[in-house]
Amino acid sequence: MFTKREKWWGYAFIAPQMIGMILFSLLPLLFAFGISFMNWDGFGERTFVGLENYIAQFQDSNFRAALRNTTIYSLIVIPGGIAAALLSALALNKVKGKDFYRMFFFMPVVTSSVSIAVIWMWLLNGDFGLINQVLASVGIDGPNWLTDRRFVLPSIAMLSIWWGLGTNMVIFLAGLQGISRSYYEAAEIDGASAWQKFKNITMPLLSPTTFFVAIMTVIGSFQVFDQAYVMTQGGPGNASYTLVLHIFDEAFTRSSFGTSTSAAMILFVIILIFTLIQFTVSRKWVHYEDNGR
Amino acid sequence: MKKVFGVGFVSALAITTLAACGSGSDSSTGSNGDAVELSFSAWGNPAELDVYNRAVDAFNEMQDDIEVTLTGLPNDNYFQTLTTRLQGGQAPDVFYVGAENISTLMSNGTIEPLSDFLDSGDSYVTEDEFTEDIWGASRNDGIVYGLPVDCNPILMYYNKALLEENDIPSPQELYENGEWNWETFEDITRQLNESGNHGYMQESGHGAMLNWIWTNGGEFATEDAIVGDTDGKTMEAFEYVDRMIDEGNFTYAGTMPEGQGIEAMFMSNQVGFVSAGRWLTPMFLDTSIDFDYIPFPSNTDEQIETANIATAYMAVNSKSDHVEEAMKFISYYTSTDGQEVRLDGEGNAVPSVVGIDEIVLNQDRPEHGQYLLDARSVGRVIGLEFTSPGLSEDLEDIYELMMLGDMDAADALEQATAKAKEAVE
Repeated sequence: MFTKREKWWGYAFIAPQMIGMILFSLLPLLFAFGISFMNWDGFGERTFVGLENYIAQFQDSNFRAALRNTTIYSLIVIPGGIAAALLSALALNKVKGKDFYRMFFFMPVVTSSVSIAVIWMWLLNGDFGLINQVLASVGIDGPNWLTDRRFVLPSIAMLSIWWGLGTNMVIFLAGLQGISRSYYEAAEIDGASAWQKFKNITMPLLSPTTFFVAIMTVIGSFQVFDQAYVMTQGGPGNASYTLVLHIFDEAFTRSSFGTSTSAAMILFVIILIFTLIQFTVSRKWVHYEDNGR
Repeated sequence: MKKVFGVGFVSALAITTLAACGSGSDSSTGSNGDAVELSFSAWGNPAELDVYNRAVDAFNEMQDDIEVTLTGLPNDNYFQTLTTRLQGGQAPDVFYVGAENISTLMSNGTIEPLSDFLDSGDSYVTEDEFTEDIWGASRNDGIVYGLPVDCNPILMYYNKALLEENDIPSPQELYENGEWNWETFEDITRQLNESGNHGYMQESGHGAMLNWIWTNGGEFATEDAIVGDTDGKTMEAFEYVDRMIDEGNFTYAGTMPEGQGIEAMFMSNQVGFVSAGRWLTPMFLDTSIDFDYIPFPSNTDEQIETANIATAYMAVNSKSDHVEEAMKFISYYTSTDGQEVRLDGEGNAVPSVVGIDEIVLNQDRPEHGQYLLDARSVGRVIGLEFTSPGLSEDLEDIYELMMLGDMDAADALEQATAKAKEAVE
């Protein structure tokens, strides 16, 4: 039991974080929720329009395109990103010079997203880009990655996977290093193969880490913005137009804060639903060593 | 007592902070109480900001009542930055607004109507001093909300050396002989393409398409209606651009990598023709490149057809504490004197007021500066399409698909007009 004095110290320590969260997360969220039912250009009077903004969003071809693109992008980035990070972590867990490789893979994470996007614009250029130059050297005629509607979204997804690799890999590495050697030693004594050890020891004991990475990747992929904004502005046409780009455009290009916040609320609900599903499903596949206590 | 002091101190701090956050604008009365301080924001590179400052300095020197300070903002996301500052009550007293954005600020009362001030004796400029067809979306129901800073009639820049190398006749000669038309331009750009160069860099903005529509005698929009889908001339212009890109005579500028804009392509002798206003001239003059102006080729009986005039407006923040002073400043900045100070010599634009045209001709290079004035005299600014926020971006998306070969000309025009009708209705 804590004394009264200790409790007050506890509150004092969490107060800055709570105040920050209320001021900069909760209040803006409530404000945005309120605005999503109004017609407001950001300056003048706000008029209540009920669900009109929400209905307008589903009737808006730009919003539908953004929703479709974001879903396709997420379907590439979520499994691709998790698999790439897990495989990298498993490989790095075995090699010498782990620290060097960890730093090497982590470097893109500490570089600004805009710089990375600009560099990749050069790399992916259909006429001059290094990627197509390399492909040409082995006789492959590379596409116009960023100006071809079929390739633009996978190209941005590829960049995102590469960019996010470092963070997820470090988390997986930490998870792997937290698994006690004694499990593997016991399995080896029983004659378990490498695959059996991976399937029956590594994966179950890594499942809380995988769960965390999955949650963060889902949230991050639905909020993709920087890459699409810098590299393509959502183009060509609206082939790489994402939900956050749409929210930004509605507010700052079309001066329609009502529809912008309604799109943001829809995105919030989508992420909330996916996260709840993940938490529900996780009970079946996430194993905690202390049984979740 | 200690507690009372503490509460009082915190309250005072909060009130001071809130008062600072809620101030209407950055303006204030000068520290000595004499001069009103006005803040002014505009986009531009350092060279352009130097040009703007010529007029600011001249204004500050000619009177003691107002002191203006210019702050440059990046071109990218200028309007987003401005609107965010306006919403937060931190916007400058006066600012540049793009032609495609001014209607948004007019409709929500963010900028001041200027007509009454222009009619008063305090203004340095009157409405009728400006050249015709310059107001575009900045005038609504006869009331002016933004003053045209200056203007930039769009014409073509051509690389003389590149044309000579390829034995292509001078566009000047063709123009004077009445042979400067779409057909000739097709032949020339094909020759350049066949010799391994780019003929013409085509951009995807609405203005870039209007250049071809208008030089064909077509219309995308009248003053109050979108008519592109019923105008055969407009369809012809779309088909011409689409075909020129398909055949490689034109290169869609959007396929160039970052940093390889039309100006970089021109300065590196890779392209014969680019189109722009006068703003590229100071940059090109800094190089040894041999270039000149030529109007857009016409596809009508006219030697020179309607040109698109790009312009920006200067507006006064309605929440400024010093609206009168702000109006006074922008009236000077856009007046004959203000424009003369800024644009004389190696200027980056053409006057939007009449009577000082000679300042455009005070340059040895390029030789045919007169074409800027000619293009202005036959040109006009985009009107109806710029009255709908975000429409120019939507149209650009559609044109881009055509230029990338993902959509044919007929579909592009159909979708563009449908989108425009939906937006302006």
